[in-house]
Amino acid sequence: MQVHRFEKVWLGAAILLIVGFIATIAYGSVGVGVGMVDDSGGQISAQEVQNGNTGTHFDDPGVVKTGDDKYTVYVVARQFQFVPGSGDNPVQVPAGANVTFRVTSADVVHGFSVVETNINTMVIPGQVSEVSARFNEPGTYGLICHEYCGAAHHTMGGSVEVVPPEEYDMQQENIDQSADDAQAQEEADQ
Amino acid sequence: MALSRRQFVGAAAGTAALAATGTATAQEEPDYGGWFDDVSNYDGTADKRGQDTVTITVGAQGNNGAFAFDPPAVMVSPGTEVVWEWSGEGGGHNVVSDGDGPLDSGSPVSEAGTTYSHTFESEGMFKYVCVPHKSLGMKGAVVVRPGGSGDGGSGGQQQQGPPENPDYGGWFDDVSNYDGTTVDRTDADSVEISVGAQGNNGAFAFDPPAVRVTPGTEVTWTWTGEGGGHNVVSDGDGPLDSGGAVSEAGTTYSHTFEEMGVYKYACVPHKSLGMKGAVVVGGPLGGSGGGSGGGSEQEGSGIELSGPQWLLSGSILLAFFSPLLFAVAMRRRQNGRPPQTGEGGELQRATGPEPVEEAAETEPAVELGHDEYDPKGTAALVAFYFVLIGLLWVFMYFVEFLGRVSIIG
Amino acid sequence: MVFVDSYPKTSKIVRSEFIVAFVALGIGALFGVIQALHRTGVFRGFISSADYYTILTGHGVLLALVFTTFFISGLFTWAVANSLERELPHRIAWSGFWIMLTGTVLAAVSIIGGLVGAPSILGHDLKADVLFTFYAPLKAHPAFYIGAALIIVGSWIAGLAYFKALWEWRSENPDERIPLQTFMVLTTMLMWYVSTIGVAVEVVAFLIPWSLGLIQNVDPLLTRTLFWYFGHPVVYFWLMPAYLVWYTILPKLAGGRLFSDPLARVVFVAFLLLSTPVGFHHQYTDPGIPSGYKFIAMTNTMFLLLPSLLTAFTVVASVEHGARQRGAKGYLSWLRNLPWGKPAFAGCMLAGLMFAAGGFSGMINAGMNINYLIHNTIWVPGHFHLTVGTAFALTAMAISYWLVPQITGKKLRQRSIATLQPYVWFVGMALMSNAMHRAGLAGIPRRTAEPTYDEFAFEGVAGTVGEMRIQIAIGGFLLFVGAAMFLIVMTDTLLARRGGTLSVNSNIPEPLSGADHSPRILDNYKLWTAIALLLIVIAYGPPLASMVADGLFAPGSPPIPV
Repeated sequence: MQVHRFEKVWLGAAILLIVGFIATIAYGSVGVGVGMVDDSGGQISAQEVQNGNTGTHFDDPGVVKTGDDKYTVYVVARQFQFVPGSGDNPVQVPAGANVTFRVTSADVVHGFSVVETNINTMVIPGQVSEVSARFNEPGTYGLICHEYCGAAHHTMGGSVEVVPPEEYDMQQENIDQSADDAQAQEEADQ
Repeated sequence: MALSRRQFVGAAAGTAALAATGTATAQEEPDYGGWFDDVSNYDGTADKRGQDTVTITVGAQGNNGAFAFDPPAVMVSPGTEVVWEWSGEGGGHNVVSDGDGPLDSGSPVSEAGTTYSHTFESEGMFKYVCVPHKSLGMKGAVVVRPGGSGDGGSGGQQQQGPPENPDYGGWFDDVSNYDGTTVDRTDADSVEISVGAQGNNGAFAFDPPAVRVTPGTEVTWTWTGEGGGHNVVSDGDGPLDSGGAVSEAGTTYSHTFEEMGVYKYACVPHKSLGMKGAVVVGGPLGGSGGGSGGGSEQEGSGIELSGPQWLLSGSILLAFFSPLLFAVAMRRRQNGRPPQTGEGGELQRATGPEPVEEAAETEPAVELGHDEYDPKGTAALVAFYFVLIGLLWVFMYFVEFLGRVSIIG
Repeated sequence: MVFVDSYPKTSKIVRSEFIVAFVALGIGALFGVIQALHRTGVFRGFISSADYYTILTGHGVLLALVFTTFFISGLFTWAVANSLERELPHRIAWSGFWIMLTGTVLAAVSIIGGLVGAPSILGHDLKADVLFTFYAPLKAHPAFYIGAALIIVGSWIAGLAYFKALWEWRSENPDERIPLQTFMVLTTMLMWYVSTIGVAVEVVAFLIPWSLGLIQNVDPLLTRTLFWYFGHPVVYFWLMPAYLVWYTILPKLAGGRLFSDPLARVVFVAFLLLSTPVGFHHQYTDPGIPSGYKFIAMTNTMFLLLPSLLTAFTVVASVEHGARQRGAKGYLSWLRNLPWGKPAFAGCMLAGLMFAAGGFSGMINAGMNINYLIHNTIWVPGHFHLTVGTAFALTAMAISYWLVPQITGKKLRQRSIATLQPYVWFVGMALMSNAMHRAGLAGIPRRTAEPTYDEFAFEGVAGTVGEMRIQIAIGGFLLFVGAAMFLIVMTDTLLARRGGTLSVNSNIPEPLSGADHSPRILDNYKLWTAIALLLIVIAYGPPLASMVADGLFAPGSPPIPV
C-alpha cells in the first residue's frame, strides 16, 4: 500500500490525539473521581410510583438524612413537575454535604439536570437514577427536565436551594418543632 | 349531535323551561379576569345552583389531552358540596386553590375514581388549578352565589338556548356566503334551505347558511340541481343525514328540530370548499343570553384551525401536492413536444431531437503526478487543526467541565 | 454521453428520489424556521407551544429521515450505475422507492394530524408528537411506527439493487477491483443493514404491537437501547455519502485528482467496523446501564475519529492538488486558486469546513464524563446541525448543482442564485450553530418550545442569552432562505427544457494512487461484516442480555398517548 509520508505522520498524530482524549477521560474518572450514572439505582415499577404504593421513600419524596453530612433526595418526575423541586417546593440541601439524588419517573422519560453543574441524568420509567454530589457554595440552582415529556414539557422546571449547614439545621428543627406542636395541639384537642 | 348533559337536562325540561327563562333573573356571566383565556373547554359557566352536590370531572378531555376540568366553571348555591372525581386519564392531577384558598387535594394522583370534595359555605369566586398541568390550561373556578331557581328546587332553569350571536368556533371561516348573521326564522313553523346555491366559487353553498328556528320547527332542504351531487350530513355526531350525494333538482330532505342547540352540518363532497351550514335551535333570550353558552361549542365538531394554522396547513398541503403539480407540468411539456419515432420513450429521449452535451473538460495548467506532489499546504492546515482542537479540549475539560459541581459516584 | 442518455432508466429513478427528497427538504425547512422563531420568542404567532413539538417531530423526521434517505438512495443509485457503467435492476429499485414513499406518507400524515386537531382514525388519535427518537412510553398513532418501518424496509430493498448490479458486473469482470464509488456505496449499505436491525426490532417487535394494544407494556430502557443501536450508525449513513462526494467528485471539481484510493477504502471499512458498537455513547447518562459498557462504547467512538481525521487529510490534499495543477504556489495561498464561484465546489468545501468544527463538538459529546456538561442541552442540536445539517445537507445541495443537470439533460438555471446559496447557508449556520453551542454551555436545554422557567433564569457563559437568541433566530431564518434558494434553482432546472451544452462535465480522473496499490483483502466484504458483527456482539451482547433477563417487557410501561 502506497501511503505518503505526510499521511503516516498525520495517522500517528491522530492516534495520539485519540489516546490523549481517552487518557483525559480516564483521568477524570479515576483521578478526579467523576462518577458515571449507572445501574446502581436499581429498578422500580413506574405504575407503583404513579400510585404512590412502592413502599419506598418515593411514596413521599423529599430529603432524607442518612448520616453525618449525608443526605438522600428522593425526587419523582412526572408530567410536568418534579416532586420536590418544582414551583414553591424547591429541593433544599445543606452546603458541603454529600447529597445523593435518587430520581425516578411516574410516567414517561424525563431528564434531570441541575443547571451549570455536571449533575445531568436521564429519568427512565422503571429505573432509578442515582447520582451523588457535593455543593460547596450556598445558592439557588436551576433544575430542568431536558427530555421531551409531552405538550407542556417546557414548563417542567424547578430549583435546588443550597443553604449554609447551620441555617439548614435550624430550618429542620423548626419544621420538626412545628410538627411536634401540631401533634401536641391535636392531642390537646382530643 | 352530542349535547352536553346540562344542555340535555335543560332541553328535557321542555319548552316550559324556555318560557320560564323569560321571567327568571338573567344570570350574569361572572368576570374571571382572563382566568379562562387558555382553557380550551371553557364555554361559559354551568349554573348548578339549587343542587346539594355538584360533581366536576378531573382529567376530562381538553387542552390538548386529558388536561381539563369538566365543567371548568360552575355556579353553585352556598352550602353546596362540590365533588371532584378523577377520570384516571392524563397522568397525575390535583385540585389546588389559586393563591390563598380553601382547596388542596394534596399531591397529584392519577387513579380513576379518586375523589376530593369541599363544601362552599360563603359566597365568592374560588379559582383553582391542577398544579402539574396549570400551564396547559387545566384550570377551573367555582362561583358561589345565592339565587337562581335553587330555593324552589324546580331546577334546570339554566337552559336558555344559544345566544344571539352563537359562537360557531370557526365553522364559517371559509364559507363565502356567510356574512356573519344568523337569519332569524323563529316566527316560522317550517323553514326552507336551498342546497347548491351560489357561493364558494360555484354552486357549492347552502342558503341561508346559518338560520335560527324555535324548537319543533321542521327544516327542509331543497336541492337546486346545480353544482353536482350534494348531501346534508351533521358534523360529528348529529341527527342530520340525507344519505349519499344526489344532484337532481327538487330533491328534498327535512328534519324537525326538537332540542335546543347549534346543529352544524355540511355537504360531505364539498365540505372542503366551504359548503357548510348551521341550524340554531332556540333563543336568544334574556339579554346576554344563556350563561351556559348553550352548545355553541359542540363536541366532536371536528377540525378547527385558527388563522395562522390555516396558513401553515395550507402550505404543507400545497407542498405535499407539489410533486403532483410538477408531474402534471412535466406531462404537459412532454405532450407539447413534436412526436418522435422510436420504440419506446427512453429510446426517443436518447435519439431525440434535442441533443445534450457535457461541458468540455478543462485541462490542468500543470500536470502533477503522485511522486512530484507533496501536500505541504494540507500538512500546515491539519497541523493547525490538531493544535486548535488539542487546546480547545484542554480548556473544555479542565476549565469548563472540572470547574463545576460534579457527580462523585 | 450525458448520464441521462447513457442510463435513462436509472436516471428516472434518481430523479424521482431527488424530487421526494427536495419536497421533504422544503417542508422540513419551513418547520425549522417556525421553530427557530418560536423557541427564541421572536415570533410565536404560527403555532402554540404545545404544537411546537408537532413541528419539531416533522422537522426531524422529514429532514433527518426522509430527505436524507431519499437523497442518499438517489445518489447511490447514480454512483453505482456510473461506476459500474450499467443500468441498475430497475424493478427492485422502484419497489424500494414506492415502499419508502408509502412509509413517508404514513408517517407524515400521522405527524400533520397533530396540527389539525388529531382526528380519531382507527380508534387512535392521529398524532405523533413523539419527536425523531420516539421514546416509549410516549405513544404516537400506529401509522407513524408503521411508516417508519416501511421507510427502513424500502431502503433495504433499494440497497439490494446495488448488490445485484455488483454481482452482474462481477460475472463479467471477475478479476477487476470494485470501482471506488461502488465500493463506498456497498460498504455503507452493509453498515446500514447491520445497524437498522436495532430500530427494526424496536418498531416491529415492540412499538407497533404496543401502540395497537396487542401487548400491554414495553421496557423503555430496552427500546431506547435498540433505538440507539441504530441511532449512531444512522449518522454515518448520512456522513458516508458526503464522504463519497468529497473523495470522488470534489477533487475533480477543484481541478485535481484523488490523493489516495487505498486510504479511502480503509476509511470506509473502518466505518463499517466501528459505526455500530458505539451506540451507548448516546446513553452515557442513562440509568440501568453499567459504566463498563459505557467505557467500551467511548473507546470505540474515539477510534471512530480516526477515519474522519484521515478523510480530512486526504480530501484537503486532493483539493490542494487541484490548486497546484492550476499553478498555485505557497503554503496557504493556494486556497485562492480554487473555483469558489462554482456552487458545487464552494458548497462541498464550506460543508467540509463546518464539519471540522462539528467534529470538535462531537469529540466533547463522545467524551464519556465530559458529556455531562452538554448532554441534552442545545449544544447537541448545535452539533448535529453542523454535521447532518451542513456536512451532509450542504454537500447534498451542492452536488445537486452538478448532478441534476446530468440526470435530466437540462442546464442548471438561476446560476447566480445557486452561486450565492452555499454562502447564505454557511453564514446562517455559523450564526445559529455557534450560539447554540454557547447556549448549551449555559445549560439551556434542547427540544423545548420556551426555554425559560419560573423558578430561575439562565446566565450566559460566553455572551448573553439574549444575544444568542437573536443569533439563533437570524441564523435559522437565513437557513430557510438558503433552502428556498436551492429549491428555486432546482424547480426551475427541473422544469426547463432539455438540450444544449451542460455546465458540468462528468469525467472523473484517475486517483494519484490507484486501487491497484491497495490490498485485495479490503474488498472482502464477508470478512469485514463478520468482524463488525463480532464487535457488536462484544459491545451489545452482555448489556442487552441483562436487560431482557428480567423479561422482554419488564420493567414495563403502558402507552401514554401524546
